[in-house]
Amino acid sequence: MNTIELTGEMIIMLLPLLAIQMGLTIYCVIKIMKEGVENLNKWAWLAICIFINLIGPITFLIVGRKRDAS
Amino acid sequence: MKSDIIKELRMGIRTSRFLVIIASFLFFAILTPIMMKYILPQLLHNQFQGMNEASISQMIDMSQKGALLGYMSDLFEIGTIIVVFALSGLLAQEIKENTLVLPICSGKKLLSIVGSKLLVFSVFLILASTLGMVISYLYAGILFSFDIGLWPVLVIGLLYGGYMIFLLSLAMLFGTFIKNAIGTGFMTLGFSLFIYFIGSYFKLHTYLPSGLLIGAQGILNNQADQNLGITLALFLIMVFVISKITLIRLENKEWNER
Repeated sequence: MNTIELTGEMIIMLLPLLAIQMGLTIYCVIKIMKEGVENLNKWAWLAICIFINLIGPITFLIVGRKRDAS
Repeated sequence: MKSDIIKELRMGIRTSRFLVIIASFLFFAILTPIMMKYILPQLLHNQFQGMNEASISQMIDMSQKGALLGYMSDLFEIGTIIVVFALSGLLAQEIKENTLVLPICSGKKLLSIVGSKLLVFSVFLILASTLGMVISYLYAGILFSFDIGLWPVLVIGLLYGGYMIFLLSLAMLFGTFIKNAIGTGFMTLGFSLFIYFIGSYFKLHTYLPSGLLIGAQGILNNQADQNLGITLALFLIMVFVISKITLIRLENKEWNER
């Protein structure tokens, strides 16, 4: 089985990446809750934003945001 | 023009276009050096048991240059898709939703509307790609060693920004033909890949905007076998011509059609 060993240095280097990912996810979750969604239902977009790395929130921001609210 | 520029800046923030582009550029700028340094060697080690460090470093270019080349390749493969789809609605959406009618009726010139869109997003794309390149350079430098100077990296960032501007002008042009943002995105992407294919197959990159990407790789590899002056001049002419066609298309458009 493929295992990736996480070292302290690696975690420190990954922190900005984690910050971008978390920031985008939280931003999208707030947008979904406040403004509503398009093309898919709310729960599907929530799952996409939370579980799909980077591409999920970006896809939501491009095609999932409710136009009337923006 | 000033009010149009401010409007575009506000719309860019409101529609999250700036956020999408900058987040993806920074994400790959940070991810690629980390992948090269930690994840790829471990994956290779797990796949080929018994392989030592020396053989792994022979298989992948574990240096600042290798990491930057990896980032440039990510930017071309995934970055262009994100940029194209983020910007595809710039004109297409406005035409579809008839939101251009009010400014036109209130006396705004189409040149000012199109020019402000092009200006704001061009400056942003250049800044974003240069910033991404510098961050990748710094990350790769910290993880490996600083083998390259900062100046070539800045030039590479500007060249990639230039290519993104070409994609932006294409997305605006196709937006006047197809009123659907996603359709515009696919058409822009298809056309840009077709241009890249033509450039590679007929060895015409010098005369096409894709030459900016090849020129950037040449700078990093110290292979100045391409005249970047010609590529840059032709790229500027192409962006100008595409923008002019976009303007003509908009001027001849029937705005009150349903």
